[in-house]
Amino acid sequence: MEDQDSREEKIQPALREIRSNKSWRVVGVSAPGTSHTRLGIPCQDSNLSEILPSGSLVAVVADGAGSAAHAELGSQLAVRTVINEARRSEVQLASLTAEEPCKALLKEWAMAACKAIAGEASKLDVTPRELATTLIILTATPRFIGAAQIGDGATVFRNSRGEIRTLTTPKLEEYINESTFLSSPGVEESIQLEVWEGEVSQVAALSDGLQMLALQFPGPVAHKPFFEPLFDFVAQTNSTEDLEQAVQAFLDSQRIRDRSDDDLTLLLAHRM
Amino acid sequence: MTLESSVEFAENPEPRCACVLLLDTSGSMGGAPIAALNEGLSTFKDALAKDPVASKRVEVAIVTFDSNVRLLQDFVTIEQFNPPVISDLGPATLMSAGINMALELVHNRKALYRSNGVTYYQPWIFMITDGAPTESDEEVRRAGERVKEAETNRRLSFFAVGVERADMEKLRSISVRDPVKLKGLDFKAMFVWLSASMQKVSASKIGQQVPLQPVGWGAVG
Repeated sequence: MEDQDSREEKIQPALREIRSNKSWRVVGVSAPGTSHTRLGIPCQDSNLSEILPSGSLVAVVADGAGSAAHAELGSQLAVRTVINEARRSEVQLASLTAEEPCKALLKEWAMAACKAIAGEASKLDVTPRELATTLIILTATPRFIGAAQIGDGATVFRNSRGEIRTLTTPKLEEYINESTFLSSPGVEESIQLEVWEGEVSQVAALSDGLQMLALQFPGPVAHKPFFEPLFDFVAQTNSTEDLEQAVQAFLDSQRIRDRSDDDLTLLLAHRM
Repeated sequence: MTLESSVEFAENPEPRCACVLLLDTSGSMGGAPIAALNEGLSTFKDALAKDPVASKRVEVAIVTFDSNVRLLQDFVTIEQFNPPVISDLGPATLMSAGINMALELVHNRKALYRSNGVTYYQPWIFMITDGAPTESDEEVRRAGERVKEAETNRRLSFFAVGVERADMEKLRSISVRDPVKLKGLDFKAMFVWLSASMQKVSASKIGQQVPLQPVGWGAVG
């Protein structure tokens, strides 16, 4: 039986992931919320991305529930599981040509994350609710982009015509302080699955800490003046170090922290 | 140019936390009780006004019931709330009618929020009484059923507080939650509790359920 440390290490993705090969340039940063820092709670957001050999992009964002005892473990496990699933089904992903099979594949990956949460909970002898996390999966192939979302946060894209649109959005429950998690009963029926066919230039995924700043409610619709500078930035910046530093500084800025004390994750990718 | 200076934020209205104070203004409340209650209302405002986030999010309305039911204060944010000094008392205690008005007030407020794209937390109705309803048993029973139905469907949270010679049995039959008997006339402590509770709810992040603060100001059940 592996000990706690080695198991933790295996499912500890970097909080910042920068990938770049000739198909995609990606930057993803998760930053702890000021309310978390104040209470000595670690960042419960996680993000991970990978450019598969075929050139497809898979990006994952997860936001652990504040009330869950093992929230950060849950969110890290969720993102790691999805990336592993994507690696395993790479050939399948690359050969997709229609919307329904893409949605089915994304759903499979999401359910694998649910199963992983349940399995880990069982090992820790707690209920899955103690590892509760939201999950956003974003994938981009040459033909289309697809997203699966459980809980809040959003995925947004800019197509080759320069139009900025949402792909998945928070389906707010009646009461703003409630959400759906991987551990929620009936989660399979409530997974949001969206596919958009066409040429995409940039994509973004964000956790709920940024959604009130990035989306205009009701709707919601993507707030163009929020995404345009970000998409331009990732398109024009070659240095991965510059990208990462700039996004980190942005998330740490006073303007953002005055409006949101939650954990923040912003993931941006540009098709090269 | 940094991202901080070039990225613009969407302007979304603050989420709202509606709280209806449903107050017994029957004759027996005269003197010390109503004076303490009035002071409590000021405490409620002052405590919440200290929190800039709660001030914008918490909305309070006041309904009074005696021989009449009156909307003394329609919903207003704490920022704009001027606590009234209640002095008019009447004979009788039309508690069921008061409850019905409070339920309708919450229902309409939510509809207004929805039609304006305003997000909201689960509303609270907080009832304070020192006696018993003077309506028919049937009317009281029906009011209790409406409260139960609203709670079952998670439309709101209803709290009942009994003061002095309040009929706690009756309150138990109306409220789903155990009613609380106020210690003496310590409305101040009660309103400090209520403001702290409202503050926690209005600050709660998406996905977080808020456990209630411990009740030090009364005996539960």
